[in-house]
Amino acid sequence: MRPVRNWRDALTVVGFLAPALALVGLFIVWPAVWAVIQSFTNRSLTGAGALNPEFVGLENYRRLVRDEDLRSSLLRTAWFVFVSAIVGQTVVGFVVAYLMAERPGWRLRFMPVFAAIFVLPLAVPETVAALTWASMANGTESGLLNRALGTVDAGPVRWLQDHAFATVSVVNVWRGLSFAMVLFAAAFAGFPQQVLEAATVDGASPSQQLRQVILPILRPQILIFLMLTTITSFGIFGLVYFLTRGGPGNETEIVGIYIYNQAFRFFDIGFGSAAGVLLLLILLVPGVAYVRLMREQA
Amino acid sequence: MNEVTVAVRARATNPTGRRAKGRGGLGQTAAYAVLVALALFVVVPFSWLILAAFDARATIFVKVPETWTVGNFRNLFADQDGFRLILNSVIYAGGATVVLIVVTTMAGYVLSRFDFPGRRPLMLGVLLIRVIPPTATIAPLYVIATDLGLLNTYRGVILILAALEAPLVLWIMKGFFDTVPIEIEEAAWVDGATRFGAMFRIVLPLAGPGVAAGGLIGFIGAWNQFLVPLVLISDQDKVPVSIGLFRAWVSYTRVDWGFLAAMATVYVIPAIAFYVIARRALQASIAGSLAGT
Amino acid sequence: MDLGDQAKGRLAAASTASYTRRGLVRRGVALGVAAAATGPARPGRAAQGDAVELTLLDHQEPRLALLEEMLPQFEEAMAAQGKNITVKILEGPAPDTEFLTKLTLDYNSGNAPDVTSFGATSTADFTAAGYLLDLTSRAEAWPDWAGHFYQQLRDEQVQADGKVYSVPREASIIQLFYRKDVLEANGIPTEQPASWQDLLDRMKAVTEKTGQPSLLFPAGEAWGGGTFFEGFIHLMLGTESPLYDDADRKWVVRSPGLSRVLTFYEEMTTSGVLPVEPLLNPEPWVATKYEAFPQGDLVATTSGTWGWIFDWGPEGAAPIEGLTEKVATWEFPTADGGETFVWGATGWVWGISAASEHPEEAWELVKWLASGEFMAANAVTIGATATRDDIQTIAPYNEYSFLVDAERRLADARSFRAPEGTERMVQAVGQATEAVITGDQTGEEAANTLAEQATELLGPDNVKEMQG
Repeated sequence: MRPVRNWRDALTVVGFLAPALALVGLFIVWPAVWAVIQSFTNRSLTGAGALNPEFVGLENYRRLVRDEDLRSSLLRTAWFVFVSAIVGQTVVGFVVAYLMAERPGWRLRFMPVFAAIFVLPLAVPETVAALTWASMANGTESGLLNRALGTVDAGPVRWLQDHAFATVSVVNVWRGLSFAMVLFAAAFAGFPQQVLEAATVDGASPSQQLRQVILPILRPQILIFLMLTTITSFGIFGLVYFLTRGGPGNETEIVGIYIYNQAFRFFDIGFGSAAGVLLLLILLVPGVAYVRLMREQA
Repeated sequence: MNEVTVAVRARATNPTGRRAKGRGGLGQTAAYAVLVALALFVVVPFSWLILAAFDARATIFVKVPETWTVGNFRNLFADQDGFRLILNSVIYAGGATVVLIVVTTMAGYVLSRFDFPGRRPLMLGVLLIRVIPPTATIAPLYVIATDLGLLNTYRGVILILAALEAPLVLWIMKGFFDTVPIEIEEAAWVDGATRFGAMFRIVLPLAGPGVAAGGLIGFIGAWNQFLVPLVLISDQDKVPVSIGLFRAWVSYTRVDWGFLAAMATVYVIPAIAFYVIARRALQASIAGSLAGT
Repeated sequence: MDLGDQAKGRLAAASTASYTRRGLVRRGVALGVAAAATGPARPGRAAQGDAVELTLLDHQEPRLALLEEMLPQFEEAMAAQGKNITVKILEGPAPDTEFLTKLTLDYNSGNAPDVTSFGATSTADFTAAGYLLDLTSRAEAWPDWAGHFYQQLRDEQVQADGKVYSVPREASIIQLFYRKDVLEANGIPTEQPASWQDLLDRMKAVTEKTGQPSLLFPAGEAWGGGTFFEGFIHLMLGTESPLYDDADRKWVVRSPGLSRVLTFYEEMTTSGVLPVEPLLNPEPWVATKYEAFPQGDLVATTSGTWGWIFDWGPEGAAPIEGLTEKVATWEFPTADGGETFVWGATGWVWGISAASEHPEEAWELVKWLASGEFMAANAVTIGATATRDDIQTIAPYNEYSFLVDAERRLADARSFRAPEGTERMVQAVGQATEAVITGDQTGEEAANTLAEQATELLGPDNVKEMQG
């Protein structure tokens, strides 16, 4: 890397950075700023607020604070993140990557086959993931899950009606598990084997190795993944919207769907923007943690 | 996601040829059981997609077709609307990829090669921007797109999709340029090449596979997008496959499931194929400092 | 439909439409993709200088199919007048909520179709946003408007500014449907109940004999907009209190009537006649209207005319054999007895975009859509009644005597014209009734909750209270 030494270098730097920064600035940063501005108005897509949006001060935030639907939506989202992203993806992903990783005294076969299989859902568009799971979780006797239950004389269960939240959580695990496994597999691959060998020589049991050697060394990668998946799961929309559109009732109305509904179903752009600002503030916490972790890594 | 390559490569080159000994037996059997169960969990949902796509009388239920057919795929491409959806997706994701490659290559190169005040905060800032989900800003994004005349336009969605993928791809690109030693470039300058000449003739070819990989990863992201076209495109001639699938799905009854499954299959294939290719490309390059991207 | 729209507690705005169309969607709406109609090819319509192409947005297969089939007649009629007008049909997403979103985004972005259709609950909001073309003078100049459209429906089109922006496409008649056979078998009188108490007493008698809930007025959040438009409002209109004061354009969020309605919900709950359990679950109409009513457990329920076709008709969701012998209708009783009434109101309407470049041609199209054979076929397709009095002899409408009979009731029906903010009120009513039927609150307590909640949602400037 070279310092910028003359005006030509400076011009190059600015000129080369400009298009990317303009793109990101215009379509990501500016909307975030605009969200704040708009959240103080009653701008709407229909009704009088569409024709003449007015400044309403903190009215939208006052409503936000009092809105029980928002509160339950946030709690639901936090639970969704915890169940599907933190427990489902991270823990299961780590365990599987651990099982698959080669280490002294442990080597499983067919790992490339398993690796290839586990990676599949990663590339699947969320709409297709939702569609296939809609088939799996069909509530009649002919749905595949219910047929499986039928073999033990149970069911049929109306998965997407009576257990919608659990079902969409499982689908999110399905979709995100691959990413966790891939990331942790890489972490294991880069793991200093000699440390483990030394531990083995010292007579450490596998569980001691895991707790005292592996986990501490992989801590940064684990934390980074945790932050990433928390952030992504908080922002999920399509996967759940496709399957349930937030229903039945409000059972699967995670915050992404809440915002969409406020803005594009009730057409309340000002209020939807305020809810978006709130989501941004919430995500700032894992976001900053993520950036700090990455900075330490770099 | 690039990590998998690191994993694969590391395993391939790792000279630990020993067979596992010791606790083996029971623990490993249990491990296989877990892995097989998980593999089933991962694979089984694909069964409907594939079976229904080739079923002349498909339903929402998983079943082995009585009559196998490629008719669903033929219908898909013969049917104006089906073909239109796919074409639209190609336009959006392809356009976004082109934009992405151009802007992130430029920015990635500069961030890799020059040290300037604010470089590091800028890099971290770009990282922080990744945290912003489109769901949080979709309402103002709609208003901004309206004001800029980008609603119901290909270019609007292309630019927004590119912007959404840009932070990630920018980091990837920068990582690849980091792997090309600056000495090679400097040697070219000594031989009389201009700075730009060296970039195009020396650096880009070396970082080429990485650039392609970054582009493909951006493509996959753009290809999958649902929310942005859902809100910005209401002209039915311009909706992509993701929205087409949704519209068909929410029409509830008398859905042509075979047609739908065929469309979903066609929609999945590029995503998976490009992912596999991107993985290879990543392997071919020196996937060094990519942790967490 | 079942999964998303109906069950969606707060999807008020679009739900008037949802409930009226549930039967239709259930019966079969072709998919968007494979059948995505961009309109049939129009043969030989080369541009002749002043050729005009109108866009017409609608949704759901039966209606699109009808338009495709009949619109050439309009084009021919125009051609006969020397006007070269073609109509391009645009297809919106099938669920009503998605359709409303698309339409609103189209209006907001200036890409709206020339002519489209939407639920009457949206008219006020679209008008306030300036999306709709003022049709007042055109309607006045159209002899049919004053000559044939029902007075009440015409009144419903008049917006806050005194102008007309919409033409009613069909009308909904809602009554109490009851199982005549079950009542007779149990020796309970079947004549028109005079008051709420009368109705409740009879239903209690049935419930005592069968041990099953017998009376359904939709309530709670699971039914979405149906709680308001299929349940609550038919009780509210039976009280002396207005829900909305047209004079000062405020919602009346606390009144003796409101308290009485919520207390009546409480009585229905505590006496066991209301099927509370199904009402708290997703798709509440399945366990009640599609299961309990055909089985004869549930004895009386609110329903629109579409129930004859799409719910319990031979090809409906839950056919009742010998329907016309077993089922009959009552009018809604009022709180204190005496006068009874049916609900009759505009269902969906036709509107023209204020941004249309061809307002005159679009008006010709709307007039044609709201007339003669098209209206007759449309009413039958939807299972609702015509909005004017000169369609009754036209096929296929004339074959549906229950529709024609219901239509005659428009002359003296009661209704509630949805002003701005209706969807918020629907939300508040859903929550208040839910609190009552779960036993969390008494009717009086729920009335307080409703007043607070509605004030919160509608804004203090838009509400007022009336003391008894």
